Amino acid sequence: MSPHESQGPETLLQRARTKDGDALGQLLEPYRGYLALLARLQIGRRLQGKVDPADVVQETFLEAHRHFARFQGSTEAELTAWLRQILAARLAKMVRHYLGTQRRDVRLEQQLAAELDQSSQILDQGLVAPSSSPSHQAARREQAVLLGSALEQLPEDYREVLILRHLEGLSFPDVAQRMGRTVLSVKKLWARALPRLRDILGGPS
Amino acid sequence: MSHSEDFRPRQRIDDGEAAGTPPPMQDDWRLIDALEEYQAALEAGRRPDRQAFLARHADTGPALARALDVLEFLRTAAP
Repeated sequence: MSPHESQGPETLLQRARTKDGDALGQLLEPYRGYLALLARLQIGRRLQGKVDPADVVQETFLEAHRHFARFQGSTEAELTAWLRQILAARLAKMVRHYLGTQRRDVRLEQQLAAELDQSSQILDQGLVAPSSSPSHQAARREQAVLLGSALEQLPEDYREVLILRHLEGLSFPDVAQRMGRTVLSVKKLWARALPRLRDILGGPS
Repeated sequence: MSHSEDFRPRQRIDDGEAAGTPPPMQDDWRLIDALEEYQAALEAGRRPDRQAFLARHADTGPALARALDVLEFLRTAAP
């Protein structure tokens, strides 16, 4: 059982405020997959092939540790919003780097933050929750967080085919081109990735 | 067109997969056909009768029901 499942994010937030470094680490870790998913979707739009989402998330966590005293919220929604702001600033810095500009661009950061908020909201709204689905357990948590965490646990090829097909909305021929595989091969990956993700998400059958 | 009717290089669908992956089986194609049918219905704004759909594709095995859960979970998640 993860620290989040045993204590809940709000409890960990309270502990982290008491300068409990372990609690802050435990608090942030479950958002690694969520932030990686959002970063992945943004990088896909602007910086494909140039930036590793895992690196951006690691920098985001370092910033979050460094500036945690500034965070005033008390709920998971407020925490994820704060983490998205940090992520947006890191992504903006990378965009500037690859565009060859050094000066900080507040408008770019605001635009990226708005796009990340929108992606997160759409993910949350889009993850329909029939009572018999894996999202049954997600009712208590932000669904995009659960999806990001579950995707993180998939083999890379499985994660990639699901993100490209369902979250970037590509056709199978386009997915095949992006992955350097045949259409038949990505369809087979897709058919195997779906039940595997279901197993990771858990919940009643 | 269903996969049972078309001609495909079935011994090569594992192109690029890790060594040691079991050879492709007819079950894979049945599952892919069923999932594509269900996904097409969802994208067209329909939600098939799940129990009837599972009964019609009973030969695909238990993976289908689990996969349908995720298709429904993701159905409008594209940002």
